[in-house]
Amino acid sequence: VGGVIELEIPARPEYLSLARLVVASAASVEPTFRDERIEDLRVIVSEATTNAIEAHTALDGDERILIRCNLDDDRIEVWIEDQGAGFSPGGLPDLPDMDDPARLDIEGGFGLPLMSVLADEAEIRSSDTGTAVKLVVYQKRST
Amino acid sequence: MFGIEVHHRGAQTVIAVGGELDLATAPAFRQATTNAVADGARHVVVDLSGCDHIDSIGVGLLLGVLKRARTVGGTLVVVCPDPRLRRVLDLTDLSRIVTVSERLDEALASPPPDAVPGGAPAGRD
Repeated sequence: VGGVIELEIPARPEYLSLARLVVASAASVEPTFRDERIEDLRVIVSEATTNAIEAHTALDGDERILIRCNLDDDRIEVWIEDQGAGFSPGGLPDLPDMDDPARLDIEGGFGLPLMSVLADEAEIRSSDTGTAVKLVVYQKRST
Repeated sequence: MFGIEVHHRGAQTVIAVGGELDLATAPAFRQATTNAVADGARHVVVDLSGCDHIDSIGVGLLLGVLKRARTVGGTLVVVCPDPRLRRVLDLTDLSRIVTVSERLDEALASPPPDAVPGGAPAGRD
């Protein structure tokens, strides 16, 4: 068992749903993956692809986002690559606590924490010419 | 297929979302909820019963609805029967600051104190 599935989408929000659908469907091919793990995968792929699409909003070309799934017996590894302006994951500002009314002024900041909780492994490589995100989900939750 | 319906139940305004709440559908949701509050809605119920996906964008949108509702002395309740979606609300801690109900009838049966006759005056939590 195993295989590689690649999907290339335009960096536009209307293709986000397709990215989720393809990755979740690919994961469903492996019968040992439970629905809850496929749902985790669906959410983290949505987060990473959302970030990739948003990284392209400042560009005016017809850039593409590459999504590659490596399917294995006990794990699924997904790479999401864009060519947008990179960022420093460690350089993001601290956000107010949810109990702090000032948090209501900031609608963002949920994506990366959600990815780190739902993925068993998450790695971000970012530079001026693009970002590659590696996400791994195992058959069983590690936490 | 994404869709939004707005209707009123007494002092509560129900905004029902169908389909997926994400980056693609965010502008329509933001517009609908902004319009609802501008049109006088204070106690907002966002009904996700017909919603089959939410991610961090959706959580941020709900945070924005909470802010707009509080600005006019109102409240936000989120109806979310799907445990997959509730998990996202829990993991992002949104459910710590927003009331999440599993059923619409439950949410409508427990209106805010100032939304019922003889209740507390507006602007109090």
